[in-house]
Amino acid sequence: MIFSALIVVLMFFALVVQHFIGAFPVLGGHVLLLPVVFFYAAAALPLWEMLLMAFAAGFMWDCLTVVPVDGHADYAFGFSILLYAALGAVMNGLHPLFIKGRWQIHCLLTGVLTSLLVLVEFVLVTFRREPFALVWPQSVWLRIFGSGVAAALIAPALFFGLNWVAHRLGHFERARIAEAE
Amino acid sequence: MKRRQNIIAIIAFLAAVLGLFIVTPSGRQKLQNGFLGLISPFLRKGSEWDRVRKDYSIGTKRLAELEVENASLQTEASRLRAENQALRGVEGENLRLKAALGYQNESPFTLVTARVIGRPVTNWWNTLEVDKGSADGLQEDMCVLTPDGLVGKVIRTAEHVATVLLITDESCKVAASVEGGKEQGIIRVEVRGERATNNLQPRMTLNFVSKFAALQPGHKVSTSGAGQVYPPGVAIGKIVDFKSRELDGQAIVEPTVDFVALSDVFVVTGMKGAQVSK
Repeated sequence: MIFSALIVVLMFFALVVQHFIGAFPVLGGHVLLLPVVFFYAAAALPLWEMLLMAFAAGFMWDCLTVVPVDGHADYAFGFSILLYAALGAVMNGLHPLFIKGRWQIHCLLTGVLTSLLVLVEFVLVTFRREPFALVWPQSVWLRIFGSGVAAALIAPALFFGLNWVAHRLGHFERARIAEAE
Repeated sequence: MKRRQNIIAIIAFLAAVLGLFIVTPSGRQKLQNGFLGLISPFLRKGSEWDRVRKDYSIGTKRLAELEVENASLQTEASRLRAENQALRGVEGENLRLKAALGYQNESPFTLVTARVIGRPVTNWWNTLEVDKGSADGLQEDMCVLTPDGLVGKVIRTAEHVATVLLITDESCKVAASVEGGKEQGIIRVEVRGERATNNLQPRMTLNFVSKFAALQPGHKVSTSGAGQVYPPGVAIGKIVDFKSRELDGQAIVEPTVDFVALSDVFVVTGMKGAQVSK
């Protein structure tokens, strides 16, 4: 639980730092740190804790991004929680591999899932906002791709650091025992 | 056992999310404002560090660059001195006219200066955070501007921080008029393709103007005051193109405010002594 609490705190500070990073050069997508930390949690923690993390991450995200203008928001407050949980479930499927110390594939998957997260947001915004314009210019794809690439590049360093903390706290030993049971 | 634990966790999770879905708008706003209050001290501190970092990187510019910049600034200073001289004459004339008309010699707006402490954090929404909030008299729907023109409006306030919706966000629509009262319309960011613009300086469109309007590049566009959120006469941008469509005309407008370099803004908290109505 200490490790989970640490991840929640880290997600909060990832959101703070995200305010000062800006966009990924050339491609243009924002560098999203919160999802990277969340996807680490989704890989390292069991399902019920992953859901807890999805709730925390989605709640924080919606607190800042659900902007009701003239009474209408782009999506319901709380929707991101479901989105994080759905994408986190994909990562959580590789949890057994992660606790065995094989986390390279998870770094790549973090990039893919971050892009997917941005893509779903774009689809929602496109359907909700007027005038309805189902256009997919290259810049949209670059942005979606850019956020994913940035996440995949950040993930190894972050995963390495968090794995070190997890080992110090004995998280993986406990996880392996729980998995064996 | 483990499977049962997972099922219970999923049910509890869905119940918690459902609980959030049925929260009333005012309850949701309280949650958001509370979180904004929680994050604001860290945004302030982060903003300070960010400024220090930027100052440091400016300080490490090469000497040659600084010499070129110095020469350019001296030219600019000379130009501004000349302009200042000219404006003194205008100011005198302005004061005489104001006195003649009985106007109070004060700014038409009551302004609160705020510093930008948080830049847009997402891909599809253009908002930013400023370091003033409800404790400083800020309320939702208050107009935000700079000396260059309109920036946006306040959409959320916590005690010492507020969120500003930029006019470059698709959700933001502003009633605008072209200089000289030539035409009036609604200005908003260009949607097609611009939703994914890589910079913060997208072009905007002035819609619902007459297809026969004699609008030329260079014409200034400012707020019309309709809708009562934005006071009239605040600069928005300059027309760069105009095209006649089947039913109406559409002008492409370049914003006057540099949204990329935005660091300090003013929030209009009142007008000529009266509070701005929400």
